[in-house]
Amino acid sequence: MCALALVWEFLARLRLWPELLFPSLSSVFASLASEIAHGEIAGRTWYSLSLIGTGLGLAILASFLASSLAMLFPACADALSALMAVLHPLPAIAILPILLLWFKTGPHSIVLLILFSAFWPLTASIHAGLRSVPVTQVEVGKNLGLKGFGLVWNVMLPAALPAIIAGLRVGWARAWQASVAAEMVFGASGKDGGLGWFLYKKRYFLEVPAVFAGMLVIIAIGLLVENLLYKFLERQTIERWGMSSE
Amino acid sequence: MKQVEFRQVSKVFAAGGQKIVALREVSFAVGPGEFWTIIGPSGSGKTTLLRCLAGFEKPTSGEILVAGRRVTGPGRDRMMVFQDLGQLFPWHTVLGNVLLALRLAWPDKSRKECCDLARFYLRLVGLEEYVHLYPHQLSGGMKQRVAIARALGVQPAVLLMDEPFASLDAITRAGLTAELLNIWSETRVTVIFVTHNIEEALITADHIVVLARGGSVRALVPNDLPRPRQVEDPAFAAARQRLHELLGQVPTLPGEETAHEREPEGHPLVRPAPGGVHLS
Ligand SMILES: Nc1ncnc2c1ncn2[C@@H]1O[C@H](COP(=O)(O)OP(=O)(O)OP(=O)(O)O)[C@@H](O)[C@H]1O
Ligand SMILES: [Mg+2]
Repeated sequence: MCALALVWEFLARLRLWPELLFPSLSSVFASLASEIAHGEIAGRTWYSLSLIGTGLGLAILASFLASSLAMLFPACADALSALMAVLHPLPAIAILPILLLWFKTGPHSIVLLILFSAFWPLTASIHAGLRSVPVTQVEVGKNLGLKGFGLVWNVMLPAALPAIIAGLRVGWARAWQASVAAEMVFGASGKDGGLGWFLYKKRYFLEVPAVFAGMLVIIAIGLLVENLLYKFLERQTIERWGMSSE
Repeated sequence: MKQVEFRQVSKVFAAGGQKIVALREVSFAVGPGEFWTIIGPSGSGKTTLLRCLAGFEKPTSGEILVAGRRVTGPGRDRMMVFQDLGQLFPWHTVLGNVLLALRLAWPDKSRKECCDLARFYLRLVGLEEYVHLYPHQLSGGMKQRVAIARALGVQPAVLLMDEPFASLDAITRAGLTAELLNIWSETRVTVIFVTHNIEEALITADHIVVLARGGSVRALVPNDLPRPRQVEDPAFAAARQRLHELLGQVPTLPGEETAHEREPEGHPLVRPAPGGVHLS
């Protein structure tokens, strides 16, 4: 990490490329500091995160519902597999034009795009996880009188937790991609806009250090979520329960 | 009333266009508080018999009654202890595993009452000091004890055990078998126990069901050896020899591959007599 930063700084100082296109790391940090101080980047970050939170939250709910239904009713499983085969390979950004036609520009279209992009990988993982729950544990559950949603909730979902966490990781990454890409394609809705809009606008005004600063913020959030949220979640659950080696 | 009754139970599996008879007209009746052990060669339908009784499989014909009621599906009146060391829920502690079962079995009891009851059953299997550990922190023998405590806590009409100690080393296995007998004599729960170890069958059972290849009952054998059973007892050795013959694993006749297929004729103990035959 440090070595990478040094190489960057060194290359930038060599002036092989115009400084406008390849700014030094120090100017990137200076820009980051002033952006944070003047408030634009914080607001944009918050806006992106709130859209992602909403979209991802809805995607998680929908995935749990869909994969639970698929476990309970074979017809639902067939329908889900068919839909998944068709829609999972479709890059989420490809449905943006249709979303715009149907729902107009605005935050709700971005939320829908995030929902769509995170839903399929999440559902694929959760569904696969639920189907590979050890048969003995399911039978113990049935023996104890559990069935239907009770069985899914008490036995199958916790047993599928390693796969669920893996799915959440992918879902989160897809949600970020979708939000940044969407804002770059159709820009901000009114005054509001997230980090994608921020990057786009700064490029337009050729404030390249600020573009890099925006990327640094995205990286930093990714690292924070991975190390604080996911690692924490894993330590509290599947590592503590000895389920992480599966 | 009989606690468990098998009436002409047959089970045929269709696997790959082929029919496999796993159980053929199995009939026997288990009285309350009795310890029955099922023994037979691999593939003779021992697991299938327990799974039909547990309600995980549906017999192709015949019926199974538990306390006079016909078995139609899984239920808490028949608790199964599996051979699989992965039968505990890894996300619950030892106490949590038993507690979940008790909360489901006794919806009218408070959480506190269920907790006390769970601790009682964990003390019964000697695990009172390990209640807060997670299953992955336990040895194989301890996991099986928790599974037994969980099953007993539900207070089933019959406890089903499918080679519960088969994945354990010989010493742990012998210790747990002895403990199981203690628990049985304390709780007087009805037990149906599957093994393919002849000594284990003789040490545990009031009655032994000997299954043959193809899933038919070769013999119902009452076991009247005085408890606690001693392997050194000459009567035990004689009984073991006869069970060996029944199973067709006669140690004095090596190299006879079809020995177990043959109906050993002319021996008074080998006919599947309806009333059973005494070993001693
Ligand atoms: N789900 C199934 N589908 C098809 N055949 C099955 C199924 N379960 C069991 N069988 C067959 O039924 C027969 C009896 O099997 P079972 O598992 O009951 O034997 P077992 O006496 O428990 O053997 P072991 O001592 O090896 O555990 C075997 O021939 C087996 O192949
Ligand atoms: Mg078996």
